[in-house]
Amino acid sequence: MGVILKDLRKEFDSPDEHRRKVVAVDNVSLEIREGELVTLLGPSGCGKTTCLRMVSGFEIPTAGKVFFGDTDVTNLPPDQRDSAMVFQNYAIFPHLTVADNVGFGLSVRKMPKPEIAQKVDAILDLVGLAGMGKRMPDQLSGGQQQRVALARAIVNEPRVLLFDEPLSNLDAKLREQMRLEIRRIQQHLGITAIYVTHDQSEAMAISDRIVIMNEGRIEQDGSPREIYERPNSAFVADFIGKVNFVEGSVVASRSGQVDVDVWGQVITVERQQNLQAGTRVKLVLRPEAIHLGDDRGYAKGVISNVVYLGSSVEYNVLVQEKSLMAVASSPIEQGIYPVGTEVGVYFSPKVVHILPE
Amino acid sequence: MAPPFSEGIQVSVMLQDARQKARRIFLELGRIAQEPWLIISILAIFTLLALFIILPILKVVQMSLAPGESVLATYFNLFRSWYMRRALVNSLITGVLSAVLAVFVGFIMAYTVTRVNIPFKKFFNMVAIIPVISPPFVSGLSILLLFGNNGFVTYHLLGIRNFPIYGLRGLLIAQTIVFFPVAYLSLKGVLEAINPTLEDAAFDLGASRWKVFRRVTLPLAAPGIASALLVIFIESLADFGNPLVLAGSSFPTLAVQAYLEITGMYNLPGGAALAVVLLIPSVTAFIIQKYWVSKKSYVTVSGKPTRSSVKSVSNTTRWILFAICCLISIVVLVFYGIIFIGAFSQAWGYDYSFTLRNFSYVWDVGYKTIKDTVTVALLSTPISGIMGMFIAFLVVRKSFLGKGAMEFTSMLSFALPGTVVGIGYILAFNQKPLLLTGTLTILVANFVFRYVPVGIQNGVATLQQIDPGIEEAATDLGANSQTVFRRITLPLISPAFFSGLVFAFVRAMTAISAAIFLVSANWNLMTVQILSQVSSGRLGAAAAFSIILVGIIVVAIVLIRVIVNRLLGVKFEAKF
Repeated sequence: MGVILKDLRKEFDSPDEHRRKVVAVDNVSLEIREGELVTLLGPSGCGKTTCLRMVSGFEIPTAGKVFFGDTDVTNLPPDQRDSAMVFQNYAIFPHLTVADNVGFGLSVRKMPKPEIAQKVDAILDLVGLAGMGKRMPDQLSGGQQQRVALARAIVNEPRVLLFDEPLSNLDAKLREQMRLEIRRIQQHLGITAIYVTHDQSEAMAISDRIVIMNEGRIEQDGSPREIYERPNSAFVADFIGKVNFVEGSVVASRSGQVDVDVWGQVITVERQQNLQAGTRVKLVLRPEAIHLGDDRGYAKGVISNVVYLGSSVEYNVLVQEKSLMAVASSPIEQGIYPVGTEVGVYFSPKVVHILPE
Repeated sequence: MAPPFSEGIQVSVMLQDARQKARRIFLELGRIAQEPWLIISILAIFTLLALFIILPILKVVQMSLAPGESVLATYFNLFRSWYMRRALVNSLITGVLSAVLAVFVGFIMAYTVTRVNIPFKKFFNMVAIIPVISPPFVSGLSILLLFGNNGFVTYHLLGIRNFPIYGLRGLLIAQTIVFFPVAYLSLKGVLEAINPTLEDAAFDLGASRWKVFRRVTLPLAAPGIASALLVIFIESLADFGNPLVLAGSSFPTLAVQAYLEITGMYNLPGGAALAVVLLIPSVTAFIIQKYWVSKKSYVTVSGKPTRSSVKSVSNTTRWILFAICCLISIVVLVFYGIIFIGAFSQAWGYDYSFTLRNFSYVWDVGYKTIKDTVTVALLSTPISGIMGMFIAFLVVRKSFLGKGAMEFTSMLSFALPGTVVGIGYILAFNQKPLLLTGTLTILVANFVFRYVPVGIQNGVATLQQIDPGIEEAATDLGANSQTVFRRITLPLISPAFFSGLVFAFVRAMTAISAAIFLVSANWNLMTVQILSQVSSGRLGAAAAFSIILVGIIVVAIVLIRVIVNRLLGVKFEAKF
């Protein structure tokens, strides 16, 4: 079952008197196809959680509609919606055992006890908690609590699964492990899922599609690759991963190709839309796309800072008085430039993405 | 100056806002309407609050207003008398001074127990609970036994007759002993919630111990101190027992005068007018406490107590504070111990030999009263507890029209002086269809609504500590409001519920100021009988009666704890 958000808007009363309304979500429209995992990604306060709470039924939209399949569920209370949420702080019932937590939704639906026990066992197995049904929540580690929260949501076989920053309370290693697990289970069940996070690597790893939100609006909606490689705004480029913006101006434009003047050099890059000559543009350059070499390159730079990270080295390079970030992989093989070294800066025209200013 | 059309825009924006607001309320209503039990309970609670809290107040006010040209004639007549003006001043003085003294003593003890490394902390804590689980006028009785005409100290030890203990002096001693535990228990909570690392930080920045106390600890505790002052002011102002026992005719107070106007002179308008006068400072203090002081609080949720690594006081101060705590404890123990001795003595002041005469006398005259008292307390306590929790749940977790009014009204009954409530009840429920005077119902209703704020406060505090996400998760899993409340909220708040229950039970057993208007030949209460024993000079019988009362309370607390733990597996601490 797909989910459709249509012109969703949510206003809250402002806590201070001067501004009377705070617009948390501003005309968001989005379609999530059956079986798809879509991530709402953005900085805190961008409206992603409010969107999720409108889908789950905890907030009533000020305007707009929410559809599950063809059914308008905008004003349906949460307990009557066919969705299940995994909460940020797990929201595990502290007075119930793991099995009773997981079986809660089933028992509310008046399923016979033996059947509940059977289903709970199966689902605990699926999330890797086999044999832990009798434990109390305070006897579990953070990761295990997370699994209980997940099991509790999916055991009811909801048509839509909602995640509200489910991994933000886990440490980095566990986070990476759990996101793979969540993805595996979501694909295994073929369930439609909306996932809210502010962690871009989590979003990249888990999603079919990423929706970047900012100040209540959608900035960009696309696959992880599109979002990273073809961001359609400086905000998106900056929010997803590290980025350099290099200023330039268009010299000439042909079909599919644009000549840009950068650092006093004319570089031809690929670009579908035509841009008028003279347009000021920003070149979006990921640090890993910038290569430093001993030859001339496009411009000369001086290494101003070096951070050794083991698997890679991060450089800051001063090029025409502007600092540029560059990442070189495999320093064991390539060696490291010391601070003060003069280097040539080079990038492949294929990796450049252009944003008009 | 703004161009004229901007006003039009303003209006249209406002209209739009109003429309959206209306729409939102409509949607909210729509949601609530899907759960009819919620609407029914909300309406039922409003009806009950209107009937048992608002109506009695209105009746008292109405009775106090004269029908003639000058509606305030009753008031003018009353306060034309020097004696009544005196009563007003006395009440206010007593209220203010006993609040200050009780908070002073309570703060010293609370600070010592929470911040200073001394032995016997548990013991001090226990001592502070004794006055709470005794009827409030027992300390007055002790003063009579110690310093009265046949007083142990004055007459027996010092040979003084007619020592002037009646009046303000005796009353202040009695009230301080009764009310310091209230300050102690609440300030202990306040001080525990202040993170000691803040004090450590101040030390670390070079402040002296005194400076840390004055600049960090005291300001952080200030809202709690102000709140304790106001609460004790309210309680002391409304208190009825000790002024009746100790003040005598030379030191009139409002609560006592109101009682005497009604029961002695059958002057209902006069009594009602005095009650209204009593109402004004109480409600003012309540509003200050609720809407100003509590907003200033720096301590929102009591966190885990963290241990301080630095000693807050010097060694000398430490032993001085310890000595003060010991002294307080000795005074309390002497005051309540003397009741024991009094209960088992032949004739106070003359013959201290052991006897059970007082107990057999009390048993003969008071057996039915004991039964009545326990019945009333056992009936009213669970009702008020459940209602309190339910209102707390609605107030914290639901949004509906009139929510603020519901909270205010139900909390208000705490601020109403018992005298006002008592008079209000006899005025409001003395005719059909609400003919309740002299019945069990009126006593139970009185206690239910009088102590419902305790349940609400407990419930609100507990609910605010439970992550709303937990309840949302249950809703999300398909549970409706009713199921969420029964299966999630209730089990989580039950420890607080039961500790509130114990408190309400204790108060129902020991309260007097409203109940004294409501007892009858059919349904009498122990506190009322004890007071009448005191008034007629049978101090030994009063002491024996008090011991039985406290004994019942202690047994009941232990029983409730054991039963609740066995049957429901809920462990709780009785909080006072």
